[in-house]
Amino acid sequence: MRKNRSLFYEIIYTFISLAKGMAVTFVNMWRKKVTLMYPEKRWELPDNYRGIPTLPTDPATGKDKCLACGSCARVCPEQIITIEHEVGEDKKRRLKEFKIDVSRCMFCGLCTEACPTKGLAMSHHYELTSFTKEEMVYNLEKLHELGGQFPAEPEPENTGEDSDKQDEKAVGGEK
Amino acid sequence: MNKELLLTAGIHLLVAIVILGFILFVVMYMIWGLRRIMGFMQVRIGPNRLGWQGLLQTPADALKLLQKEDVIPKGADRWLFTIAPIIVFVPAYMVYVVMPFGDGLIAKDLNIGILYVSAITSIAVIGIVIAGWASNNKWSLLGAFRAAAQLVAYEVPMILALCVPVIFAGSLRMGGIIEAQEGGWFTNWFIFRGYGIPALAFLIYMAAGLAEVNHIPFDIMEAESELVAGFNVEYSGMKFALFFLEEFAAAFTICAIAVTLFFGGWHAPFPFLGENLTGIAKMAVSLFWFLAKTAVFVFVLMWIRATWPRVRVDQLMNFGWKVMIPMGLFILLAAGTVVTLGWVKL
Amino acid sequence: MEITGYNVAFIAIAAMTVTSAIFVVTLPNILRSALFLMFTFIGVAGLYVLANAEILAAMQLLIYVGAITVLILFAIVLTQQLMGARITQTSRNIVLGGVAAIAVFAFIATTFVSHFSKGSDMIAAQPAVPTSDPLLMIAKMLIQPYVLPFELASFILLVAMVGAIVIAKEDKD
Repeated sequence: MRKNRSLFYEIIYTFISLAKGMAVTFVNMWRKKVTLMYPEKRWELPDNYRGIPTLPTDPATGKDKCLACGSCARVCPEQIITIEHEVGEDKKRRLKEFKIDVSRCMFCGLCTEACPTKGLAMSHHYELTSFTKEEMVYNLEKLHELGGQFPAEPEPENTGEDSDKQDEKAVGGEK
Repeated sequence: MNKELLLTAGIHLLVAIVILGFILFVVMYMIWGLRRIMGFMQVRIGPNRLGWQGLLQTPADALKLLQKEDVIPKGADRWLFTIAPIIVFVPAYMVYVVMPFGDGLIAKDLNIGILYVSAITSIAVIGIVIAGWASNNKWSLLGAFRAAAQLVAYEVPMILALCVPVIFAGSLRMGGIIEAQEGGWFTNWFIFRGYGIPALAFLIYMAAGLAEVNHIPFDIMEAESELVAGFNVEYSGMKFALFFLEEFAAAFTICAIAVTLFFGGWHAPFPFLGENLTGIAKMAVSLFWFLAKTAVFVFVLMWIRATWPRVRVDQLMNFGWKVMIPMGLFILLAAGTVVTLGWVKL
Repeated sequence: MEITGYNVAFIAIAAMTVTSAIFVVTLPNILRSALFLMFTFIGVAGLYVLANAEILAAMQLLIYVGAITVLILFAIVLTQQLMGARITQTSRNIVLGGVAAIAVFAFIATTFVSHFSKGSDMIAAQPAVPTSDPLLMIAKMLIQPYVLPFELASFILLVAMVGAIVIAKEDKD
């Protein structure tokens, strides 16, 4: 390739290619920026986004669908789910406490798949930072709060869909 | 005690402090500009949070650097390690003595102006070599070697290119060179005169200047992909800040000298834009034109930084010795011929 | 002695030059010696400036500081860090060296005394500001009366360069 071209051509071509490079950067300077000004603006998350698993509640009764069966705790590869239950007088298991150590969660979603009632769902909550390790263990109350409500249409896979508003509320509360 | 002497010393000290303040200010906003402009060219935004459009970002970074722990490596030569950043910074500061900021705004118009600039800047390489050696780190030592080889090689074409406007102006004085480009219209600037010889000299000067301040196409002495950070790998805190300060102060110097020698210094491009003023107004307008022209070149430097790749070390040396120096000699000969035969109106 | 700007500057620069010159020959670490050699050169340049010989000062910086000291540093750093050889200053021939130094000093001192015995004050006298541009004078001197030595010097440098290339060139055999 090189042998057929004269030295003069090479010199000219060098300058042309340098100028071409400069033109590319100059044009790019005026393009719309890809940076998202994060805390003020946020990405629109897709429906199947995997945030932290939460327990959405039913808008009618205000209760979750958890049976306290413990499938999620057994299937969790990180073993971060702890479930405490009590047996009531009607000899039924009732959920007493549900804890997820989100500092070790890897968002695999196995717990939600194991859930027989689809009561555990991946939310859109991803801002998990805190100042202490203890704060990162979410209890039942927090999981209810983050989980939000089931949608009117009973489609358990999309439970996290309308938790966006809840997310922002939670973030606002942290501020 | 001699009152007059104290007064003179006081005035000199004041000028020195003003220039130091100017350097700090300019370097801070050059760094801010670099980060914003490179951000824009990479379709990012760059720092825009602290202060309006991020204007306070660099001062905050500087404060952070001042507070940092001053780490001196165990095997380092403590004394040399400490003195090296000073040796690097002081020449870059001293160059500003002959910087013609505007009409009458020059600390001392030495009759050896240009020679002074090239003589003083040649000291910095010693600081870099010593910094690289004293760190007791092989990356920094390699960086120091490259710095010595590169700076010595590129000083020659730089001085040869500087000779061309000197020949045209018949003076080494900064003031004299600017006077030679007087006349109001931009066509009187050296870059547009002399059959393109000064334009060629300007290209050589800028290329050698980029190498002298280890700017992007020629920054092999701190090539981060090969040498981590070159000669300043082990430096942190205040000492690192001094190296950083020197680099940007020197980049500003290169642009300012280019403006002075080839682009009419502080003269306005058109006579109706401030050539007929007198006194303070003239001073202010000439300062504006000088800074505006320099800012354009600083922008071009950043543009280059965002665009071009780094040359390889052997390509750099080949380019320096086999292209730049012969071209420098050629334009020197051409300029001398043209001036001696009286082909240009001086 | 009267306190003038010239005197203060002269004493400061001369003190710096002499002190760093002493450090050059006494420090055991050869790289530090080289650094102080640079300070000595800068001090000499400063003395040139005081004598209104700015062009000589600039040349002093350009050649002695910018080129020769860099060369010395380069040689030291190459041998010391890469080859692993520690170079330290020695004072083996201190007697002979001392004799040589005293002889040189005596020679310079006699020259000075004989030159200044005509009555002028050595320190207080501030050099006169030259009437015409010294730069121009040097330029004219180099082109007109001293053109032969000037060209000869450049020829010698050329010969030295060619010689260096011949020595450094690889043997093809």
